[in-house]
Amino acid sequence: MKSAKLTAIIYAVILSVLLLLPTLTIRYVDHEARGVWENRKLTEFPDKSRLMSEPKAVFSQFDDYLNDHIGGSFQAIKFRRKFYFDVFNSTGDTYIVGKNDGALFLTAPFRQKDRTSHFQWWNNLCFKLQRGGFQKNYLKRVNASKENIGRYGAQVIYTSIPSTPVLIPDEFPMSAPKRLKDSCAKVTPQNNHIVKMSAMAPDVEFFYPLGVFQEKAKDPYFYPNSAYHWQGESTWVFIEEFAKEFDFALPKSWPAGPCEYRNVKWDIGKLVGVGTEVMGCDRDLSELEIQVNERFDYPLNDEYVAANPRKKTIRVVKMENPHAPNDKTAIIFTNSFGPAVRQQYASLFKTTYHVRPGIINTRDIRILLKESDILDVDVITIAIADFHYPNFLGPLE
Amino acid sequence: MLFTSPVFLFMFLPAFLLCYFLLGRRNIIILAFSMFFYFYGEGWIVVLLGISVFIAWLHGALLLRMGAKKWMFVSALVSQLGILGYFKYSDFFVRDIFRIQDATWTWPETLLPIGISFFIFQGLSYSFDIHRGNHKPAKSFIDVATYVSMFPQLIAGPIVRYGTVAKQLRERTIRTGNLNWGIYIFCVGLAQKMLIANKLAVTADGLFGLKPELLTTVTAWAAALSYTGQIYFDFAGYSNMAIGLGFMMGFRFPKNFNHPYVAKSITDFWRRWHISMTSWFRDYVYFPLGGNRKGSFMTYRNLFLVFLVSGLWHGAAWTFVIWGMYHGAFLVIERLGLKNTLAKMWSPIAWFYTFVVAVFGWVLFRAESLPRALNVAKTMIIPTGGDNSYFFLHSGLDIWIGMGLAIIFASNIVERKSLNLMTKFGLRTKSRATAVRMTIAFGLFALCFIEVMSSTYNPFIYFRF
Repeated sequence: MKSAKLTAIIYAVILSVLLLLPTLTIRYVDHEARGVWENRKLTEFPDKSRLMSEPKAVFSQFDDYLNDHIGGSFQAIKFRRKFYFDVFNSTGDTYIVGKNDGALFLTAPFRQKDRTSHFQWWNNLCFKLQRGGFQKNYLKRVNASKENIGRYGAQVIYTSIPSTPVLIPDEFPMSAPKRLKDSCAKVTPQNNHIVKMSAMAPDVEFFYPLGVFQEKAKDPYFYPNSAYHWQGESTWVFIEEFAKEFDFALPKSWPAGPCEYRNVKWDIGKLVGVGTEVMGCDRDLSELEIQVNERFDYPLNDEYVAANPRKKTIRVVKMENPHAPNDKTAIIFTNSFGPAVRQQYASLFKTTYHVRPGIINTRDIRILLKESDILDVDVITIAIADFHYPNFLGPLE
Repeated sequence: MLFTSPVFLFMFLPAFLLCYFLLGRRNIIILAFSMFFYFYGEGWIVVLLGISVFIAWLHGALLLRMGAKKWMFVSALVSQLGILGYFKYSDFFVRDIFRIQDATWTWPETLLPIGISFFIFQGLSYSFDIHRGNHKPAKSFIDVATYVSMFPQLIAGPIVRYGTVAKQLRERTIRTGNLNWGIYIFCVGLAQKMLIANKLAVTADGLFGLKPELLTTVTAWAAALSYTGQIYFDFAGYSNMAIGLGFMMGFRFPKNFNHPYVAKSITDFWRRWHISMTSWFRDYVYFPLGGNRKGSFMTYRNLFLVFLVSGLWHGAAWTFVIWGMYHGAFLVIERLGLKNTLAKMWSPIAWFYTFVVAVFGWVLFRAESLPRALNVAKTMIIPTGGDNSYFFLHSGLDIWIGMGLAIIFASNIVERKSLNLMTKFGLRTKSRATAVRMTIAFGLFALCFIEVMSSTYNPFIYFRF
């Protein structure tokens, strides 16, 4: 009897130690790797002094800490997400839907709190923006922003980058509402919101190369499958078409001939958690020899600095082009698509500033535009995904 | 602290097992860990659990000293139900039923402590059993506290009756066999929750969250059926984990689910669904009301009342009240004669009737409001066309597999066939059967380990977008 009890106790102890292993190995886990993979700061151990006063908050933080640091979780996450993606074509997020060929669409903002419904972005583009009332509101905001940012007399160009919903509506997954497929299919180079707004406001310069993009979109390397962001050959074609439309010369350093097939960044992969690269067609950006200063402190006016001595500059990206075909200076305002196209854009001018209102707070954007001479340039371009208008224009108005 | 969380599986549980098996004084260990378990999730509301324990113990202590007195029982009953009433129902009664708030006076919002319905019912079970003389009051405060607050069933049941564990609280045997059974049942429960219920939850949550105008007959049925599977595997999974933990400690908690979806009448369904709750209501509410001893009308009234109260026990909202009445009404109808008719019918028809009634019941249970429930039910009944793409949006291949598993394991086919197979392959000897069970248990645990760990994935990619 005693030996039976002893066996049970030994068994229980072995079992307990095995269960404790993931916790005991916390100090040997590469937490930095997980932080990089998930692109965030992992939760810190809670402040024990708060235990008596706020036990629920402390334990909740401890839960998060353990979830982030426990041994084996990083490996389990990578294995499980890859397995589910490869075997079930499951992304683990209903806002990332898969086409039948395995390519993916992101259909709404990544941040949960910004999501109002599935296919939110597609609805914006294929329904809202195609309505007359919405276009009038859009134009009102375009005019307000043009008046503000064009006040020094720069040429202001509003460019919309065609995104997947209007490029390949026939390849929508089964989970996409049919009415959405039908509406997106009706957005053509001849009949779209930009064409209609151009007719309503001939003095505004719009650029929306939908025809060229639709023609090339079937080539998976043009707009790499599953890349949410605008990458690959599409970025080069976009700038070539842009230069042609507005009579800007391409620099001599512009790469000629067919592009090279290679691994390009697959940004949705980061969301799905299964890897970050896919085959795509891309050119070597270094051939353009653009000198990029990611942390250029743009000076604010003396008067402003005198009144606000703690704020003297606002950080932007400055690009210099040694092979510039002209002496022009330009600014490009973009959303997150910007980094993929800014160097190609900068190759058209001598000096180019890149401003991303999405990562600078609205107050600072307003200060930069009002209290500096950054708008005193030759060309101002607003280049964002077609479904992001017109709210994007808010800080520029 | 959920049983499926890393902190429970890889810290709390092994720490508990080590202390439990190595330190002796096992009831004190259970009590200490149970109080910490509750403190971890609910903070200082653990005091409320302590009060509930104290009330139960005090009733027993007074009964030992002064003999059974009605006032003792009534005061124990009133104080326990008072706690439950205040924390769980006061908002509902003040705001929704009596609507006694106005611009000048509002009822202060009350917190709903997790598991309050379970621990109060356990405390009440103790008071009922000792008052009726079914069991002697526990001599030790630790025993009462251990019984009422035991962490395995503290937050989601099963409601273990005092009589079931009174003896085991004093003497339990530590055996490898118990541990093996406990591990096996725990792992089965964990798999039911992680591998089936959580998959079905994706479809159920997605489709129940659709705007009413987007719902079609296909998506409404998909929502209702996936929730039907989800609630069973979620609840049965939790119950099994609790039963498994009990086995590991040497307790034998009764079975809480017995394949309810194979039932061939609603009466049969309630003999198989949440058995511990149904029997609690039967013994402590239905019988005291007179049960079926006072004529047909009183029997129907009692049945209906018990299910009305049982609906309210599930939650303080009109949807739960109506759900309780809905089931009560079907039980009365069956008593009136439908049960006999069903018994004579071809059994698939009886099963189909029962299943459909249960599914419509779950629509009431799941919907966030009564109008919403009626909208879903109406869409299920009246053919409504439209875009079914939302069904595909919320159900990938992995979820289809989850649904398949749900169908297989909700029936009793596996149980029956596995016994035949084990006999056929000579695996029914004790050691071989144990080996098979433990292989299954560890296999399931490995799969659940991956699910539990990968639920911690939480990327932040906004700056890229």
